[in-house]
Amino acid sequence: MLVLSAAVSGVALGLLYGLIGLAIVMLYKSTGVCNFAQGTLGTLGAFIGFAVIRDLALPLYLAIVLSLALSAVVGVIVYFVVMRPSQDAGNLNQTVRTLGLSMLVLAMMDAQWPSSPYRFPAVVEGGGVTIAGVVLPGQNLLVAAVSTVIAILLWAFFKYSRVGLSLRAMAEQADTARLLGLKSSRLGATTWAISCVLGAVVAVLIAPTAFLFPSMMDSYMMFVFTGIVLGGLTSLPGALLGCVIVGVISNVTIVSFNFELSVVVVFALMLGGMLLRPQGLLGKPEAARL
Amino acid sequence: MIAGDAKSKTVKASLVIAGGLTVAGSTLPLDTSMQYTLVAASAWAVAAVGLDLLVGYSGQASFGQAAFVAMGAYLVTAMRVQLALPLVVATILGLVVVAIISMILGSIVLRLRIFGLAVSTLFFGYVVYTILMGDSLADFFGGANGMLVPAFEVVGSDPRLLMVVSGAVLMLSVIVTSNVTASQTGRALRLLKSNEAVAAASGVKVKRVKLFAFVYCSLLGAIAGVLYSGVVGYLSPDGFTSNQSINIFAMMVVGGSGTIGGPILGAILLTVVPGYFLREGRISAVIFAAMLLIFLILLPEGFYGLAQKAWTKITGWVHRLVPQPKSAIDSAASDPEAEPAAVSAAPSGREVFRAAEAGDRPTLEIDDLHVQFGDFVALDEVSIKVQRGSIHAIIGPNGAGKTTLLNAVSGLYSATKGDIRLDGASTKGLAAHAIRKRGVIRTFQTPAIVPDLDVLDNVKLGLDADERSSFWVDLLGRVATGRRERALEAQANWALDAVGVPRSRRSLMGRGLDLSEQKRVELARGLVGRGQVLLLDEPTAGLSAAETDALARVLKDVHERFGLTMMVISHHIGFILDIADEMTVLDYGKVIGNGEPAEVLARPVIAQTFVGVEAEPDALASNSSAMNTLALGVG
Repeated sequence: MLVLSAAVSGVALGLLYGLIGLAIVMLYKSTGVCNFAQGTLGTLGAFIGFAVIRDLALPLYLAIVLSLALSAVVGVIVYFVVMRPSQDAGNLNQTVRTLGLSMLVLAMMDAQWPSSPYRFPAVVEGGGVTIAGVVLPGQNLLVAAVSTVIAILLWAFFKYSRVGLSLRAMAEQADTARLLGLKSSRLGATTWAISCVLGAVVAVLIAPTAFLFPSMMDSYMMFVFTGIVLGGLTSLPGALLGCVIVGVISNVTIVSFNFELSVVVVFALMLGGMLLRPQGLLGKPEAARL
Repeated sequence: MIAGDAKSKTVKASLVIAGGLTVAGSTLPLDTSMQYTLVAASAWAVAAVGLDLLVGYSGQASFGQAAFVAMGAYLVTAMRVQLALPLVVATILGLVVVAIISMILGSIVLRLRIFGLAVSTLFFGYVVYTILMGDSLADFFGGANGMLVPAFEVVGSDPRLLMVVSGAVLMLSVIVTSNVTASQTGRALRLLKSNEAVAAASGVKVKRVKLFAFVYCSLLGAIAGVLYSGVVGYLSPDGFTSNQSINIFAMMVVGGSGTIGGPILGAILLTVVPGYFLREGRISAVIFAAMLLIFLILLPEGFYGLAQKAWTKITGWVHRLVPQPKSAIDSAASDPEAEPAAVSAAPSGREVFRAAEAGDRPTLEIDDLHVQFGDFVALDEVSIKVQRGSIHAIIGPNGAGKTTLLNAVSGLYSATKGDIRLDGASTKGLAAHAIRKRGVIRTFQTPAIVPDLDVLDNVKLGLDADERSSFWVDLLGRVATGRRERALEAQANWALDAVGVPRSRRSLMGRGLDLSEQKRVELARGLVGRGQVLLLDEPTAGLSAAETDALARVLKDVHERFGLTMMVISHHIGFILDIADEMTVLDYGKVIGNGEPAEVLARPVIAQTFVGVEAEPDALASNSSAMNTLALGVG
């Protein structure tokens, strides 16, 4: 029974991983950069919310709205200050920039909020429903609802909105998209804003259970990356699916054994996926262009 | 582009950097803390140099280098403590274990492109850290409490002696890494860095060479770990977090990737500044990370690139101040282009074509070939026989499947149905490099010139498939490979003479060539190899009329002298009528005509495909500009 409820809450956890995964895949597809700062930037969003609640004494909901808005601003700043200058330095240089950015933000949070971990108020306290003996805590239901809504919103955004279509065009053929007159810097800033907001949503949802501290997302990120690899690196639905699989498996192994073993098991899952299906569950094999 | 251009011939500058560090650390009157910091910097430098081979020279990535440093440090220390093994024995055993682990890991993660490689190596680093922190192996490795490192034999814990040992290891790794980058393996690495499919079609065993670079990188990481354990005297998992992997990567980038010496500079900077000047406080971590970002953004080429530019400037001023005699290179450049007539006798290996000429069986038989991508049928029932010693042209509108046909023949795409036979033997199921080994050489629509190798090295790539050296020999450098390299150079020079690339252009980097030169260099690469069939994809695309004529002359000349079988794709009808013996026309993946070129072109159905009008080609020729090239031959 414990294992079953671990599996159920693993789905919720996996959906959270999936949201970060969506942000990373989206950014990778439209800019070619693998954003290793995704987790830390999200944590920054949660800390902003925390500071707003503690120092300005605003109610939780208002604080969350404010922190999401500020996260979008952070994303735009990151794009223009860190990513956009000397872009021709290559994807590797840019990827290492995200790693450096992650270190910088982490160090800044450490300096600013030295007495972490902090307790972060949950959006939904207690509650929950019991179905066939399995308890579904309110927080898990909220997570599942939020993730589903965001996934649908993202899907609609990419499918129908002008900006979303432009982003997809950038992702498929960046040069052609530029030739067609798409403004790459505005799109780049938009992508970074969206991914920072997604990161903050996840951090706000995780913080009540994990406590709030600067490196709280580090271990999650490994699981997210595994989900992305399983899903196929460039597939948005694949990232979500892969992350849910990882969420369930990691949660079940943590409950049945320990955290240490769950890390090893998830890593083995990643290697197994690479061996058996290198293009991922929902990815397409890449054909070389000559 | 993953990493910038790698640089050649950096061994002297790199040795100066490594030697300077060693001398400074072992002789200058520094305080003890600074001395230890410099030894640590030299240890990290070894790890960063290893990473440079993988990233800067091979275009792969690893964000888990600290894990290999940790494995080296922990395994060797544990064997010294628990089994009381001497340092050297423990090191050798430790390196063997690390090599095996890295080989297993590499053979899995190297299947993925850069993104997958980056995240899986980062995760690997996290796994190693988690295991070292955890309780399950705590008896052996000390868990979160860490492990004391006994002093090294002979040198003890004297920082000056440690510096001498660590510096010597660093210099040795600089020499060996430079040897590799300057060798056949190094050429293969830079080729696969520029394009993996091209590398495979050129006979490079891509998986093997990548794995070599990965294991090499891991082993230098492990060696760095052993050196590091001697400096710190105490191992704790916190020294080997993912952040440390990123630090090593940053050392390489800040110093300048693809330079060997650059990563050493980066290691000195990123170890000394935080370890000595910014020792305490949370603010120092902020300054350090900000500094790293500023370097990445403002100095993407790294310190080495900056220093090299400054050096070129300074020597430029010196040259202007001191009048120089006209240099040999300048006078060579002003020579008229080396004429193809001056070609000497072909070196050995060329005879193969002559010897194989006997018999009238077709060299290349394409039999009922189907190639399909998803629902899209790219080639359908394509059957072509290419006669020995003939030039066979393939023409057709854009999207007819011409390049797909060449890709299928060279093993880059696999056929859904049908067979391709070389001298009667099927090539079904053979990998691209194996087909290259059987004598199929090809050129590409966009010339596959490696931008960061010089012209001579670019041509030598054509010989490497047939005259393979071994990784072990390549590690030894010119001492072991010198004679062989000189022989390759002679052949490469011969081929460059044949295609008319003047001597003065041969030490240029591939990046600096114009399109016509790139095409000729690629053709020279095709000529040196011991090939049976040369597949040329659009050799005339983008060339001027004069350049096309020159290329036709070179091809005819080469063909006459060596009887080489060629299959040529071209849109240029005049060029094809000039050189081809036989021609196949493709349209929508099907063969719609085959035979003697002028005769095929005269057929109404062919003319219709090309001009889209149903009429006699002769009538069209007079009033349609689109038919001008066609009319050249038909009229």
